[in-house]
Amino acid sequence: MALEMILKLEKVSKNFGGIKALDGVELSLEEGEIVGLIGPNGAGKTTLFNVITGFYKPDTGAVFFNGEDITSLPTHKICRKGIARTFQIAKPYEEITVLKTVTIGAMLHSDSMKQAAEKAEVILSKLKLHDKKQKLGRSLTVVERKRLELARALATEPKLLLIDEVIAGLNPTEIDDISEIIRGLAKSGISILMIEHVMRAILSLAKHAIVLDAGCKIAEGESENLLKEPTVIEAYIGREDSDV
Amino acid sequence: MSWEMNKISVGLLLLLMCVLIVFPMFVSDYIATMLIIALHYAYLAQSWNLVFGYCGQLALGHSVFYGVGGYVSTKLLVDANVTPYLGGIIGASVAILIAFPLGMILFRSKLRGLSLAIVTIASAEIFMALFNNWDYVGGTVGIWLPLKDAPFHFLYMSRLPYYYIALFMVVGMVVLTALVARSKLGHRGIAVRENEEAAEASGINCFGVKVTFFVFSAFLMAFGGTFYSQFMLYIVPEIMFSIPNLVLLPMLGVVVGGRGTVFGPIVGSLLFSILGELLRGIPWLHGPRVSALTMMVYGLVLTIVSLRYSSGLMGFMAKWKRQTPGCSK
Amino acid sequence: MGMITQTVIFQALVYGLLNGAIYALISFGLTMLFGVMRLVYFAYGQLAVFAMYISVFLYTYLKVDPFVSTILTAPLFFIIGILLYKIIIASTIKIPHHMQMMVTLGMLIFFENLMLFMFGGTPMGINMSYAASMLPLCADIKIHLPRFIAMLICVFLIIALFLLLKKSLFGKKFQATADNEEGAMLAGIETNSVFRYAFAIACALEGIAGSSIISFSVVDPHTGFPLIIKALLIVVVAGPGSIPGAIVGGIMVGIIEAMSSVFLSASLGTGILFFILACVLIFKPSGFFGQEVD
Repeated sequence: MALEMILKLEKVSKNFGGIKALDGVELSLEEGEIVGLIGPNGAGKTTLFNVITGFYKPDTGAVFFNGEDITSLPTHKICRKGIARTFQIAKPYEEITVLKTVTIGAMLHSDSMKQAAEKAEVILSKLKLHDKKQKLGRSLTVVERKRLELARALATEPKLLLIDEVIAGLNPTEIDDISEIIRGLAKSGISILMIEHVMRAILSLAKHAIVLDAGCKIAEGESENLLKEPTVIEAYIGREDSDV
Repeated sequence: MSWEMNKISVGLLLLLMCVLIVFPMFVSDYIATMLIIALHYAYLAQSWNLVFGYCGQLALGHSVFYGVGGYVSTKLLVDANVTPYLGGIIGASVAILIAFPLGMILFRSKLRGLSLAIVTIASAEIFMALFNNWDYVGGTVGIWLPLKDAPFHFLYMSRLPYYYIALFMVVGMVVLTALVARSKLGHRGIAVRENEEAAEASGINCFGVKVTFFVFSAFLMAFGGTFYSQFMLYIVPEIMFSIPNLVLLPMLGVVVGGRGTVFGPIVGSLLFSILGELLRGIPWLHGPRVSALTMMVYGLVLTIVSLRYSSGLMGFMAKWKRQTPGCSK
Repeated sequence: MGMITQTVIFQALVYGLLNGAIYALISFGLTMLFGVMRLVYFAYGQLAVFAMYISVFLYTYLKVDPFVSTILTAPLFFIIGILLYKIIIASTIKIPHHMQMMVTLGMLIFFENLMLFMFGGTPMGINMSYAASMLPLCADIKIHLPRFIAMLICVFLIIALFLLLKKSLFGKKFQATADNEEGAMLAGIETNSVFRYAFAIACALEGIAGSSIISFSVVDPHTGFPLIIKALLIVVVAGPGSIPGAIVGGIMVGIIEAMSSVFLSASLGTGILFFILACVLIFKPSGFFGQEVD
């Protein structure tokens, strides 16, 4: 059973000057799963992503990727191993084109720039950004930025993809588009852990979800059932940040 | 259509090269000196363009390596009769030996932006103070180089050889910059420049990239120092580690010409050299006031360009190109 | 070199304190600008140099004592500050830090060479009647009178500014904006106006500092550069935006500099100062008390 876990967190804690951002979080992800990570604002979801990807080092606990302890590895090495993430606030490379942005990501596992560019073209098609490939980063709309975030992450050929709120701000058609893409990614073997506030998306994409509140995991299980649990509902009450 | 454009640009470039090579044979010493200095500043701008334009790091203390390069090669020449062609390489190697640990310390820490700029400026001041108080290198008195014809020792009475070497350095930098821009390293640098977090998350070792560009620029600056010593025949810490001359002026060229481009720094610094000469031609201005006026204009241009046209001349042209229909892309 | 006696050391200490007060004032102004509007202002100090020149001319032609000339330079520079803000600074605060540095470096180059153009490169100074007077402190230690007066002015200004920022309405708006610009705007504070006056005050400070310094020092167009570098180092090491830090830092720099000059040569002393500050920054990049720089 342990061999199938692509990601495993053991008692991960992180303090920021007295504030417990994460408190003994444990979770595990099976290969090929899409798991949702939900919780009110400030619960520590993005912090968790930062710990997994090495931007922060946890004070206690460990992160295992495919059985390997990656807790102390620098971020770029973790990416090399196969974990990619998107950023909540998509900040694209402003002065360079969409194509170049994705090419840079693809460079990681390519022998030449030419090969990287070819891989980038494929990814851009997959994400329906192909017609925008010559646009500069700073001239992209919000929707395009989010897709570019995904494309950039995918270019590094990850086995585990951490998606941070890629749905927020999209209209229903766009949500369906992206959901389709995400489902396709999972089908091709990429495991996905996604932070999301839009519950509709969680329900349609992730069978399984984990709930974080104030740095602690307060619930875990089937998405549908989770949203009915009293503790979960209580965590969200008073915070108007989700469409439950 | 783009193939024809390419043929034309290549042709023009070749023509330009011919002019550049032949023309100086017929000019006066004064103009030759002017050209050499202009090319020298272009070279400095191109060197700095690597660490700032292609990697986004505000390393404002690279005069350290210029000075180190110049002093090493000069001391080797004056004391041990070592040809500066070799001495320059040794000087550049010493520069690397300093730049490498310095870069590692600088970028290991969380220094960014302003802090990085300040610390690098401080390092230039530290070296200036060090060399000013070091008798072995002549302290504040400086070192004189012999004025004679000794081709093997990079000493010429005529200006022409210096011109060709300066030209060679600039052309070499063009090629080097183009190679870097196309390479993986170049792209990694740009990613670091644009968004370090995203770059790191894409598997780029930002620390390694920054150190690489830092050391690379240092290496190139050192050659600049050697060239300067051999041309001006007098070195002193105040000149060899001077930030205004060796960092701010090239920076002007890079910012105005367009950072992170192959030709931007050349265009930018040439513009200023031409401007300087034009101002010098005004009859009722003379002496230090002319250079002061020139610098005033430089400062003004830097301010305005940084405020409004941050991608410089090259960026402006690229924008114009993109908006013009019919141009291939 | 002579014997380094206790007297010499104490004398250097006093000298360092006197200089430190001036550094403290300049760093105060600089960190104020950074703290409230996140402005990296490389051209700070240029106006001080200009004030030095003005005071030189006022004394040479009208026999106006430099300290008295501050009555003119302070309000004049306040107005200049308002103009400068409107023309350049207002747009500068909106651009990213590294471009701000370019803009203000351009301003530095412009002003420095403007003064070189107008006044030439030869250092200028003035010689008041009491220029060489010494004030005895205790034992063998004497204080140079003009320096002492300059220090008093700086201390007075620092205290006055501190009170202004803590007690006055402007001060409260300033603090609010410095803590959280968006929040201040939402609370109805006209941040643009706060910025404008903060900048003008900083420029007025430059005027007073310059007029005071010329009483014991000479001026040339390049005087500003080492000043701003030191001030920037102080501000960044102390933590950008931290006013107490800037004050303490300025005094410490004055002392370290004076001490290094006693035991080594002056230029080496400066080198050592920079080295110490650089090392501190490397280990503590956000400074001692500061917010994030970038």
